[in-house]
Amino acid sequence: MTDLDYTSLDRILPAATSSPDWGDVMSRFRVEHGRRRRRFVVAVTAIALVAVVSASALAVRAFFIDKGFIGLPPVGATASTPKRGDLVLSAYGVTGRSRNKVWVYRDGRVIWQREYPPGRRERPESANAHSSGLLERRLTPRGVELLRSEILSTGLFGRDRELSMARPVPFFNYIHVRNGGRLVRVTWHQHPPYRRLADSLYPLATREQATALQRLTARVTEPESWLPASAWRDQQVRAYVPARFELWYGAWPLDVRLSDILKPLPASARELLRTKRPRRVAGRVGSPTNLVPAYAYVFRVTTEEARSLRRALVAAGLDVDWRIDDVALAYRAEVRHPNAGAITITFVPILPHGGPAAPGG
Amino acid sequence: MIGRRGATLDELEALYRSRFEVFARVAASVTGDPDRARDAVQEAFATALRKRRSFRREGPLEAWVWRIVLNAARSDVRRSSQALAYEEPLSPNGHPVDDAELRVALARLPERQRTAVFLRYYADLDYAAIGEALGISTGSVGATLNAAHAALRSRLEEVQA
Repeated sequence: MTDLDYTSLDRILPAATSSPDWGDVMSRFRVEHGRRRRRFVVAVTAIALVAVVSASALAVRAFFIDKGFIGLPPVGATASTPKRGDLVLSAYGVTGRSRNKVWVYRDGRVIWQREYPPGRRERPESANAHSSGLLERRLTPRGVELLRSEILSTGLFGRDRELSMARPVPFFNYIHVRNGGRLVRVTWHQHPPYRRLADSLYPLATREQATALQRLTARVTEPESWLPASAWRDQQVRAYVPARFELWYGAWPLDVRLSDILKPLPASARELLRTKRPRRVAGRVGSPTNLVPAYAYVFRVTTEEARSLRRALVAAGLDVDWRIDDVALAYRAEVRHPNAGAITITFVPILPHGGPAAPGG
Repeated sequence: MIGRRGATLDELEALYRSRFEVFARVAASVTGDPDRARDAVQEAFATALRKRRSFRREGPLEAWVWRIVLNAARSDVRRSSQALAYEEPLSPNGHPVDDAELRVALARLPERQRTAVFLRYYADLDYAAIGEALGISTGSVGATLNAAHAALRSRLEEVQA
């Protein structure tokens, strides 16, 4: 028999960690309100800027952006070069309360993205208060080697490993580094609280391994905090402007057929996507003890095709997915499916090594 | 007032103060982490304030806010592609409390079924409000809860066998 009463559920649910704070709600409301007003002003300014850039298009050969952005690049922005690059290392982890992703290439390019917790003051180069957007700057070859050696010196990267941590860490963290001609992948997770299931998951990291990985995460995702000035070829921060995007049609966490997903799209978008062959990405989402299948259909498009698709989605009246519009350009479309009322269509930038700008990409 | 649309700031504040703990704890069943659940609730109420004029008064205000809270919690999970597991409270002698089987069985339910269980039996919402909160029809709420009961029953029997 299932014993679903208030008392049992009260014992099972995690306790609330703090008392109500209506003042905090109000301050978040005011910040958001002000931000949206600023966004309008920025949009008007951007329109003016586009007009100026268009008027002088023949005179301006390159248009670089020194501030991150979410979604598609401003019209006229010059795509980052070189368009392709060999990945030397990548990392995903939390430092302080920021979620950080970083990719470092053999040509010295460092591309990163930080997502900030609520309440942080917006940094000048960031796209908004929640996300830096994708930014880049350049290391010298020696700088790249310093970063790589720092990781290899821990002795943890001789082979792929998957570890769990006894201390609280985010569910999914990794550092990948090129070693001996291949990318070695070390991933670590929170140790599951259910002891019965623990043995079937990953080996527990030693205290030394845990400390080393935590320290490395900070150094790899914030190299400016310790690398000497001479390790940088160009410290100027610019937006990473992708030349291609992936469109992720998320069927999360349920399996929805591609035809169900394409049905609500406007005809012009459907036609464009019919010429592409999507790949179906399967994965699992959830907690360590409750992983459920997740699927996405992924289309690769140029920036111009992405712009034309966005226009079609907007013209069709699809709403921006306001739940994640601070960190990604995404739209919601209603679908007829017994278990899913809506799907999300997300525009994901493609990085120089060909992977999407997402954890694990 | 007949025909009035939108929620007032006072109504939202009163709901927040009276039901904060219930919102925060059920949100933690989605995020798996009480701190992030609290953040989700705070963000959700800020969003509710911003969108308060769009509340149509076709159902209770609480159900409308639940939908925003659950969306904020799911959004948090989606942003990080992760969900932390529930903390495991220990009894004074250091052993897990008696509800371990039920806890694991609940954790293995699909998120919608698990949330429906918490909304019904912990937050004490009726089927119409649960439907509004989950964005499904009232009829589907019964089916979702039945499926949850069946899954829980079978998993608990499996454990006890």
